Amino acid sequence: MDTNVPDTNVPVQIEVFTERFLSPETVEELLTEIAKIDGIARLILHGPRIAPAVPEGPAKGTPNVHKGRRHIQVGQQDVELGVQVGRIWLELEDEDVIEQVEEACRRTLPFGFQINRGLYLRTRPTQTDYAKWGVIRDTRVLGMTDPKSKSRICSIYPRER
Amino acid sequence: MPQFVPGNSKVAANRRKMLDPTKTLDKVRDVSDDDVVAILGHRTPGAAYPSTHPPLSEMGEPEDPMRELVTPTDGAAAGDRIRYIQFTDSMYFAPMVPYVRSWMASTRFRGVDPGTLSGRQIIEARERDLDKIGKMLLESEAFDTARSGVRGCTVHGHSLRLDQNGMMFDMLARSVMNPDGTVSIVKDQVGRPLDKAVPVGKPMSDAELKNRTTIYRVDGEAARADKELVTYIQRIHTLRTMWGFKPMA
Repeated sequence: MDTNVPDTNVPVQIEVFTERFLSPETVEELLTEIAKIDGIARLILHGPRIAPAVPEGPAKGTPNVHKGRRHIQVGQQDVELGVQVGRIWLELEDEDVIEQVEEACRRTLPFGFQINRGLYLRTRPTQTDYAKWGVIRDTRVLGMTDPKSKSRICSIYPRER
Repeated sequence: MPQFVPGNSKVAANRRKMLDPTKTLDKVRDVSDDDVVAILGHRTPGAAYPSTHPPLSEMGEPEDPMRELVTPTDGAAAGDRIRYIQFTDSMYFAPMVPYVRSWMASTRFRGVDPGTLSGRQIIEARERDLDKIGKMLLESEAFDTARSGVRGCTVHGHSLRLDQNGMMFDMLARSVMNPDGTVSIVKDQVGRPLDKAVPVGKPMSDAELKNRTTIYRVDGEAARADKELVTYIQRIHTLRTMWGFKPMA
């Protein structure tokens, strides 16, 4: 019996790994391009955090003025950028969308990048998810927030609600 | 004649230059004394040095041959507090690497306590000695405005990709690149904003960094390609493995 049945439930997920960290302006341009593509289910901006205040040391609590921490406009949505973006994780509805994402990156990024295929966003709830949120019916929100963070998920496509 | 580090590569030669106190480091920028004090953030520029004990001349120290042999540094003689400067150096061809910084502090300066960690390097010294050491290091080729940073805390960034403009990542943005391509230090080493920005000039080009770096990298000069270095490392490894820390016993 052939047991190599392809699992159709495995989502198409990719990671855009850039050669350098992106400035907020470049992130804004790239996300604006990506927002035009149909077939993107979920997206996460990943990178080292930029805290709003100095977190430790003698200056603890001093406001942290950083040009990387600002609001950007994506589509009709105002997004507060709290990280220096170095990776973008995307879940796609179809493999054909990968090429469109690659093209958008090529148009907007002034340096090299890699697109890696893998599993970057969770598809099943963890025990922590259950403790924090209870039973999650909309599986699209899984893995979209840091469990320790109080930040909310941003919806770029309000029309879907 | 002391032998500092083995190797016949450019990186090894740069390391020897940094470590040899008879060789003068290139001065690549000017930073005023007050600006150094402001960047260190231990006291207000122009303020007197706070002391932790009376000057040695007034303390009536006991008779001791070692005290006669060793001349105290200016800071020790005056009874200054012990303060620190801490550096972070990017892995992307920064002029220095933490271990070499510590070796250099040991060979070039007196009365210092250098400490090495994977991504940062601290030098502790008496305050007025530290001001001189900090000024010398900030003005020399051992510091690049984009790939090195003076970071007392929240040092993360040495092993991360560079920012889009070529600066090493710094969550507190202590150094910023101006529109004209020069860099200014705008916060002290722990993240307190300075009254006025300290201009430190343009960062070195990639070619210049590769020429001055003390970091072995596969995409620059690889450590394994340096035959003399590998020979010595293997010899030390053999001696340590077979005879521990007393190979001559």
